[in-house]
Amino acid sequence: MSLYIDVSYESINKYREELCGDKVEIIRSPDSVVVVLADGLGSGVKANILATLTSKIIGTIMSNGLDIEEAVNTVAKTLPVCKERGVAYSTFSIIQIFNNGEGYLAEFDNPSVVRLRKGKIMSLETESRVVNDKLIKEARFKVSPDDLFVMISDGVIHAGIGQTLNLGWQWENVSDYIQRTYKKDASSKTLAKLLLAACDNLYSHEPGDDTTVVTLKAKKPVKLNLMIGPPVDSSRDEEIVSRFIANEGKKVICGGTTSQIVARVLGKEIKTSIEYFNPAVPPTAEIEGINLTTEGVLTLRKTLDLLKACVSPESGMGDMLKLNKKDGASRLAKMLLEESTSIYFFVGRAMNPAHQNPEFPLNMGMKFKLVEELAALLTQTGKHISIEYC
Amino acid sequence: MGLRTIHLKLHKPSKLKREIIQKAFENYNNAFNYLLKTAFDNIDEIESNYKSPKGTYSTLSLSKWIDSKRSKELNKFDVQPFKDSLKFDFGMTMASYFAQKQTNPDMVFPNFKQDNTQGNEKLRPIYFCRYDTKRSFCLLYDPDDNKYFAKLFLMNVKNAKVRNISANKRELIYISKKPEPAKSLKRETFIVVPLSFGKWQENMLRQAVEKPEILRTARLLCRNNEYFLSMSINLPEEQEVKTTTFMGVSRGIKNDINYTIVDEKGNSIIKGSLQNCRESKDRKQIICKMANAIADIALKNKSMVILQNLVGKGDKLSWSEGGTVHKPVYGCKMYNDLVRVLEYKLPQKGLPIPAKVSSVDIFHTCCVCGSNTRKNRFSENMFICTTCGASYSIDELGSRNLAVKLIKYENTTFKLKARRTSEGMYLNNELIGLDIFVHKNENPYERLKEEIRNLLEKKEDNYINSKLNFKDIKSIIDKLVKSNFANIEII
Repeated sequence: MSLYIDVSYESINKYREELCGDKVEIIRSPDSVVVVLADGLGSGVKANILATLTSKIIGTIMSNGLDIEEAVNTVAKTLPVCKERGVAYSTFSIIQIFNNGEGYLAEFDNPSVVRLRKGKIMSLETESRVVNDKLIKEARFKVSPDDLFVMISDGVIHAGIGQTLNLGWQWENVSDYIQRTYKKDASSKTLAKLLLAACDNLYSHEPGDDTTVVTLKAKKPVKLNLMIGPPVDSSRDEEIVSRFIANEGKKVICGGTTSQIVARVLGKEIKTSIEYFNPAVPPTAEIEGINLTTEGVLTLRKTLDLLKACVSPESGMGDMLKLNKKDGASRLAKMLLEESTSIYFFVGRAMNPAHQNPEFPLNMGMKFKLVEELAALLTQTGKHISIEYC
Repeated sequence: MGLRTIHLKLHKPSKLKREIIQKAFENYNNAFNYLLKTAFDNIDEIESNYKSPKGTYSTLSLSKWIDSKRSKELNKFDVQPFKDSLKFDFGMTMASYFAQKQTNPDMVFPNFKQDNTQGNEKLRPIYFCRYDTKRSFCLLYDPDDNKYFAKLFLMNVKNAKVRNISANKRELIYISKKPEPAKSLKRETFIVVPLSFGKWQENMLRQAVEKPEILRTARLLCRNNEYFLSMSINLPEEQEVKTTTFMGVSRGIKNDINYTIVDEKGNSIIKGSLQNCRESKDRKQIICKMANAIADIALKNKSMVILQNLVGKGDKLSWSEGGTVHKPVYGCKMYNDLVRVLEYKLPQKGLPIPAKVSSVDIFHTCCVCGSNTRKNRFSENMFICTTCGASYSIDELGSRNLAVKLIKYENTTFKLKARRTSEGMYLNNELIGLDIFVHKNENPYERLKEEIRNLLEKKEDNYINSKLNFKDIKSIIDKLVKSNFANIEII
C-alpha cells in the first residue's frame, strides 16, 4: 500500500508577541514523512528558540532513522537552560508515517494527538517509557487511507479560557469539534486553518498562548493531468492528446484552442457554459470525459492568486472557502490544492495568434511563468509535480 | 398609526348612577344578544347578500342588515341611545366572524344566549360609536380644578332622570370644537361622572382639550365592580424617523432578550441583552417595559426593528443536555405578545412597523460564512462554526442573524433553471412565470433581459394563475433590474 500524506500546519502567536513559541518541522523523505511539533517554555523569543532547536534536532535525528531515545538525549543536552526556571524545556509531539502505512507517535507533555478514521474518533493506544528523566508516550499503529491525525499545542485546549469559556476548550471539546468538521474531501490545510480559526475566535482574537495545529491526512494518491496550450508542432496534436487522455487521473484543459484540439481529436462536442459565476473569471466549458475545461491564461492567473492566498501564512478560512465557488478558477484551484496529490502539466509551446497582437498584454513567457509559479507553489504544499513542454 | 387607547376610571359613581349604568349594560347586552340570535337564524342570507364582489365583508355593509324594522324592534330593550353603536358593534362582530370563517370553515358563530342577561353575568362592553356632545358620549373639563368628566348618554327619554339644577355648582366646559359650558337640563338622558387616571392619560386628555378632533370612539367596561371608559384617541403621528440601521431582537437562552444593531452593510455596531423577567410577576408589565426599552434603543439608533416570526415554525432554541431541557426565558407566547406590543409602540415613536421574519435556523446559521447546520451548536450557549471556525454565544448569534435578514433578502440571487439541448437552451423561473427557449445563435443574456422587460409590461390580470401575486413578482423583477441582472444564479 502506498500512501500520500497531506501535511499542513498553522500557528497563531500569543497576543502582542512577535514570535511564536511553537515550532513545526516537516521532513519528507522518499519513504516517510516526519512531523515534529515543539512547544517552547514560556513565550516570545526564548520559547521560539527552544521550540526551534527541539523540532530541528528531533526532526533531523528521526528522519535519519535513529531512535527517539537518541533524539531526547540530544535535546536535553543541547537546549539552553532557562535563567528563571533553571530548566531546558520544550514539550513535543512526533509523528512519523511511512508510505507503506506504518505509523509511529511519540509525545512528551503535549496534548494527545487526535486520530480520526473515516471521520470518527479512534484513540491511539500509547505506552509510556522514561527517557532521560522524561516520560515519553509512544505508539505504533497502522495508517489507513482517509486517516486524519491532528497534533495540537496546549494553546488549543486553553482557547477561550476565562473569556468565552470558563475552563477553556477541553481536549474532548477539541476532538468533538474536529469530528464535527471532518469532511472527506477537505485538505489538511483547510482542517488546520479551521481549527485554528475556531481557537482564534474563542480567544476573541487575542490569544492567551501560542497556538498551533498540525494536520496529517493519509490519502490514496490522486493524479491530475492539466493541459495548457496547443503543442508547437500541430502534427503531434493527436499523439499528445492521446497521451493526456491515456494518463491515469483527472483531466483538466486550460485554453480555448487547446480544448478545441482535444475535442477535435476525441471527436467530442464542446458545450460552452453560460454560468457567469464570477464576472472576473471567464466561463467554463464541458467536454465529455474531461473533468474541467477552462479558458487559459486569465483563469490560470486567477487560480494562482487563489492558491497564493490559501498557502500564505496570513490567510484565513475565508481564503479557503473561496475555493468552493463555482467559477473556473476556483474549481481549478480546489482540484489542484485539495483533490490531487500529484500533477502532470502538459504545456503546449505553440504561439497563440491572439497573443501576437501587440496590444494584448499577455505573451508566451507569461504563460510559462504562470505554470512555473503554480508548480512551485504546489510543490511547496507537498504535491508531486511534473511538467512536460510539448 | 396614531390610534391609542386610554383607560379612564369612572370615579366613585353614586348609587343612582351605578344603577343607571348597570341597567344600560343589561339593555345593551340584551339587544346585542337579540341581534346575534336573529342573525344566526338568517346567517345564510347575510353571508350571501352582504358579501362584496371581492369576496370580503365590511362592517358598514353588515351593519345595514339592521334596517329600520329591526331597529324598531330593538326599542323593546330601551336602547334608543345605543342604536347606532349597536349597528356598528354588530357589523364589526359579523365582519370578524366571516373573515375568520374564510380561513377556518369550522369557525364557531359568536356566542349568544336564549334568555335575557342576568345582572351577575359577564357583560359585553357598551360601545359608543361617536364622540358627540349631544348623544353617545363626550368629555367635560373643569379648568379651575383641572378635573375631567365623562358625559354618557345611557337612557332614553322615557327613563330620563329629573334633575335638580341648583345642585350643579361646577362650571364644566365641553371638550369640543366649540368649548361652551355644559348646561343642566330638567330631564337628562345622560349621566356625568368624574374620571380618575394617571399622568400618561392626563397628557393625552390635555392634548384633546387643544385638539378635540382626536377623540374617537369609546367602550364602557365593567371590571371587578368598577367602571372604566376605554377611549380611542387618534394622536398626531410622531415625525417619521428615517432609519439608517437594522436592529435584530431575538429571545435568548441565557438572557431574556438580545439585540444586535447593524449598519446598512451588515456590520455589527451595537449588541446587548435586556433582562426584566425576574423583576415582576406581572407578565403584561414585563412585556410593556421590555417593549419600551427596545423602542428607546431603536429610536436612539434610528433602527428598523426585525423580530422573530414565531407563529408556525419555531426557532429550535431549546437545548437538551444530560436529560435536562434548557428553555428560553421568553416562551413563544410571551415573545409573540412582545411582538404585538412593539407593533404599535414603534410606530408611536415614528419608527416603521417592525419586520417579522422567519426565525428558522437563526441559532444554527453562521453569520460569517452562512453555514447552516445543527452541528454548529456545541452547548446551551456556544456556537462554533464547523465551516469557518467563527464562534459566538447563541444569544448574540440569533439577534445578529435577524438584524441582517433584510439586507440578505436584498442580496438574494435570482434562480434561473437552465436546460441545454442541441438546438439551444431552456431558461425557466416558475416564480415569475419566465419560460423561454434561447436558440444557440442567440445571446442568452440579452434574450433574458428582453423577456424580463416583456414580463414587466404585462398587466396584473395576466398573473392570476402565477405562484406569486403581481406585487411579489414585480418586487423580484425590480430587484433583478436594480442589480443590472448581476444576481442571477443558474441552477
